[in-house]
Amino acid sequence: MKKTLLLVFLLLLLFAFAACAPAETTPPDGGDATPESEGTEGTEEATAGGEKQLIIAVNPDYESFDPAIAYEVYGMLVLHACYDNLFEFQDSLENLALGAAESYEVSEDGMTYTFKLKEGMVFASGNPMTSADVKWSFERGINMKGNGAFMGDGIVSIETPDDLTVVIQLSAPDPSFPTKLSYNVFSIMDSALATEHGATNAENAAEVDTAKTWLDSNSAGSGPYYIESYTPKVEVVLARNENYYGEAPYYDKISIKTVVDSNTQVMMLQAGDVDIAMNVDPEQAKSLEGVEGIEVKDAQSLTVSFLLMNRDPEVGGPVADPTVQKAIRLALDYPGIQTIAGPGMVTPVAPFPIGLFGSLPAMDVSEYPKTEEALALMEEAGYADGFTVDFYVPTTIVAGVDFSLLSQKIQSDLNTIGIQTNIIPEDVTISLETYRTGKQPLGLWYWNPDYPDNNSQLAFLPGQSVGLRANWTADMNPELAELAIEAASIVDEDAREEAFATIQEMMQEDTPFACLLQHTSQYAIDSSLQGVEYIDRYKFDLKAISGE
Amino acid sequence: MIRRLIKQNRLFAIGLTLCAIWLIIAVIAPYVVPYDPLYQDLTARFSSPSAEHWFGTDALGRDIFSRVMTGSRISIGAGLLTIVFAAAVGVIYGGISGYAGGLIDELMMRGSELVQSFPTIILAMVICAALGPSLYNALIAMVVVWWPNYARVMRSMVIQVKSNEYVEASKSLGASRFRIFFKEILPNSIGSIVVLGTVDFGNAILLFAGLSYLGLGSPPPTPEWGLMVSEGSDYFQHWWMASFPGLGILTMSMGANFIGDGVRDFLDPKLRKEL
Amino acid sequence: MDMLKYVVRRLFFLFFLMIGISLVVFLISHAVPSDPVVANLSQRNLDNEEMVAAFKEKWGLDQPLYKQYLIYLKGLLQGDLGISIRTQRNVIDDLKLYFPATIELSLFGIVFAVIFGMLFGVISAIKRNTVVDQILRGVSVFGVSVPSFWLALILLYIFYLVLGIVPGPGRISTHLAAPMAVTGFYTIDALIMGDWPLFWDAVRHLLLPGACLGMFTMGLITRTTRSSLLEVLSMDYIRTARSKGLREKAVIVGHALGNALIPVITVIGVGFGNLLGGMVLVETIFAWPGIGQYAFQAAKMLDFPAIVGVALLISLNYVVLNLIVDVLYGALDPRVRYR
Repeated sequence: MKKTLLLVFLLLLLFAFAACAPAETTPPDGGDATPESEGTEGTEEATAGGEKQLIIAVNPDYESFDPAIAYEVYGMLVLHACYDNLFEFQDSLENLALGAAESYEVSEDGMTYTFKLKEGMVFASGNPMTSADVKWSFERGINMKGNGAFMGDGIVSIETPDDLTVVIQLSAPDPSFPTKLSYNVFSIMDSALATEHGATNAENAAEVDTAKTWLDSNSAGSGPYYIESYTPKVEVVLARNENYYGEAPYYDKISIKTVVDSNTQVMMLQAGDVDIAMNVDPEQAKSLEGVEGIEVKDAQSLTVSFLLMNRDPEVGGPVADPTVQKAIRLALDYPGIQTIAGPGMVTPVAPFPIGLFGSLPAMDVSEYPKTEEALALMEEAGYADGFTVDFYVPTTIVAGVDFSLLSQKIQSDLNTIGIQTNIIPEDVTISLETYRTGKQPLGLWYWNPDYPDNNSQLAFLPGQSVGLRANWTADMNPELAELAIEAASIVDEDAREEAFATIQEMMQEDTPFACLLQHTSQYAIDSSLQGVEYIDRYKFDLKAISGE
Repeated sequence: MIRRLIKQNRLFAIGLTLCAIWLIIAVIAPYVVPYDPLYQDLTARFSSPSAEHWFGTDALGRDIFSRVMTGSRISIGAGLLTIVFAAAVGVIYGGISGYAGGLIDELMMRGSELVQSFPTIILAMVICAALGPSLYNALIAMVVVWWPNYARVMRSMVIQVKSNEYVEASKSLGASRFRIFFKEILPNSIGSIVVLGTVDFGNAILLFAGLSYLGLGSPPPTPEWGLMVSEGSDYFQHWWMASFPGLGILTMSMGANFIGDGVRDFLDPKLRKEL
Repeated sequence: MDMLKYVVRRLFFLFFLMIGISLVVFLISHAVPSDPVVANLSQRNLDNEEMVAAFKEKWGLDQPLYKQYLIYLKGLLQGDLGISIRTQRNVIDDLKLYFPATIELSLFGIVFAVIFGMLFGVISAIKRNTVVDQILRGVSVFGVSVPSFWLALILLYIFYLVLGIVPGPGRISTHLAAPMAVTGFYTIDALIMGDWPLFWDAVRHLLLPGACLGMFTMGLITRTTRSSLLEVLSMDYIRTARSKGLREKAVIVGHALGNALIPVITVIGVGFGNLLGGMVLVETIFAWPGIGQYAFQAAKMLDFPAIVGVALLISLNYVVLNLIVDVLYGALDPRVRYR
């Protein structure tokens, strides 16, 4: 009898869970159709036929696929496949080419851009693309006040004299404007379709636009693919857009799977479960060398990591002394840091990444660490006996480099010149607060250009946003501060190159930053894949990948 | 009692041995380990176990054997401190609650149930995240989630003892409540609290290792077992990085649990249920 | 009637418990000097004071603390858990998305723990003080001592990478598509669809994480089963049964086991709580898209609505489950009285 009771109990237990779990989570409004249920129905059809499918394992950061909101590093991997822009990068960051635009003209003063759209462009929905869609999308991008909205700051007006012409008026010449236009905040959306789902370009769009939820698991673009389904933390499934104007891409479906752990990604690649493992750390890359059927490739990013040394004595204490900061730059073991970070790493001389127009060549690190010189400078500054300082480190992995590991290496380097550090690890999001308000005496940080143009890096100069995080004010180096403002709007290429060179040379003498690395990460692919090229902006141009 | 336990229960003996070994290691580690646990040697990164580095080296070329040995100090310390502070908080809380009785008792017990119904690691996680990761904050978080058990045991002991005649007697003699608590109730309850602490020690080590694994314990470069497993888990192919610190956690926690099991078996069934 | 009164009282308490939990989490997550919301802005926008202010206003962070809580509480009483600062989705939607995965895994873990725990416990008690007993007790202590995150790594390394006999992380293999969401349990949904390969695949994916997760509870159940069976076996009526000449097997199965398993029920309740805690660690390693990972991310970023949502959900489950256990316990064991 007792046994029966027990059985009953166990059944009850099971039942209780099956019954109460979903009940608790039913939304108060009775639960309308959720995006994920639509999505999963979709994928089910996908496997029915023998279609060509590409599977990518990524540790992504995306939270939204609304072009006006998405700002995360991996957002463009999906968005670039689904939307067209007036400009786009082809094959590499050096080749900024026309996208949805057929041609464009710039007025002599550099302030008026006139675009002609390609004829016959059609959205995935079948709606034709017109200049009105461009205007609508740009206005929505700006008015949604997302993280990327600042890129539209210089735009005064957008006009559409006819269906294929867009005229954009700027308030000041901006040599980086075409680059900015390649960004997803300026992706061209199917305004009719988006409006149906609650999108608006009104000035108060940030408050009244309700399309985000829909746009997270659908797309309204004209790109080679469209978002078929999105299950957060699981996968994004892209399906081929049959209305695409260009050459049809090879794959019918692309599944971008969320696999947080890089070990797992590699294991899955080796087992043949995925075609691309996006996040491979250097050690795993080594172990994959010579494995048949797998190719390890370098992904050169524009991300620069650096050591921030505060200039405000009240925050930084002894660290605020420019002489000490110079000593720290000399004491760092750059070759060792590069070893830890993995193959292909370079160290820029100033926070201007190699590969962008106007950057100087990388630092020759072979002479470092220059401990003797550094010690002499410490003595000169009056800190021969060293000192102790707090060292803020965000817990994050930047392009395969664990900041925790990097900070321990720096700690041991600083030890050699008598500087003791207390590492304070904080979640990035928490640490950002003290970083942005300039309260970190010593901090380990990274910077990914908002758009691939060195104008974005001018933020590091005195009086500019990142400079101020080290409390490096304009009056500490008025000459550099002046240059920062000037350089931003120089249109002439030679003059621009010269201005940037001067800035970087001056920053080698006086700066509160020590550039550590420009990151290169590794990814591994099934070697039968073709056309897999890393473009930092997008990660991959998905339409270019094929299996033959 | 211990001798009888060892004779009866071989597992208890094993537990005692394990714990004794770790305790000795913890005491002597800083003087005998072959390398400074913080010393980095980039030329020897990821060395596999060898005569030179018994447990191999990590991503910064530090000697894992030295780090695991030194790390025992933190684990044992954290486990002990958590138990001691949690017991102290629990004893006071449970003592007041049981002694006061009535509405106060009811309210206080609901309060402790509130803490208990939280999923332990999530509460600890939130506290750690809010205070920032450091050894002290991890300890605070552990104590916050750990004390209710002690409060419950203490309270039931107090209620039991309170009704005993001799307390009644001293009460009628005019002894102050305070005095009764310390002179009569506390000595009578301390045995159960110690037993509970023994049984709990293994769990405390595990929770601490878990927090440390999530990066919520001591900041680097401290050689902490959980943190070391987490560092090692990034490098599957270098199995020694995660294996050895993990074995450290396992053996110490097993030792503690063998002892706890033995002690539990030794108790009379009535008390066993209280725990 | 005692029981009914008890249940009503517990449920009444549950209500205050929920409010208490939300208050505690609220206070903790707002005790830090930093603004979690500001942290969600891009590095560039952090310098735009207007943006920062707009964001704070949007999330009510410009209000005094007590007002923020009252606003939240008002929503909570209407069943609105608010919007996650991190995912910018309704917390309820997030929970709905991640919870079935977690429950499926924990049920599997519990089943694993109950089956092996009871089996080991019974064998251990029958073979008391033999080598078998010692070994099984060793296994049980191993279960409660092994750090789940470490066990997960080791098991993955051995069974997936080296031997290749179980599938890797995730809920199903990458070449398969998720079943239609009916219950959100992939195994059950696959059965509903009649898709046997998918069902089998989902079950195989449950094996390793389920075992890791259930290990601790298995240890607890082994221990409790053993000691309570031993206790029952020493009781008078068992002796009587034995003296009547019944075979040992018949005595144990027929008379002792039922009674001995009653205390085990309580352990299942406790074990479940532990299981959900272990989720945080195990889910991260097995890339299991469940509540544990969600909670960890939320806690790290002090995403208050999300943390409260998770805490409420798990506590609710815990309390309700323990209530069921209590009631069952009372029904099975006449000696228990409800206070």
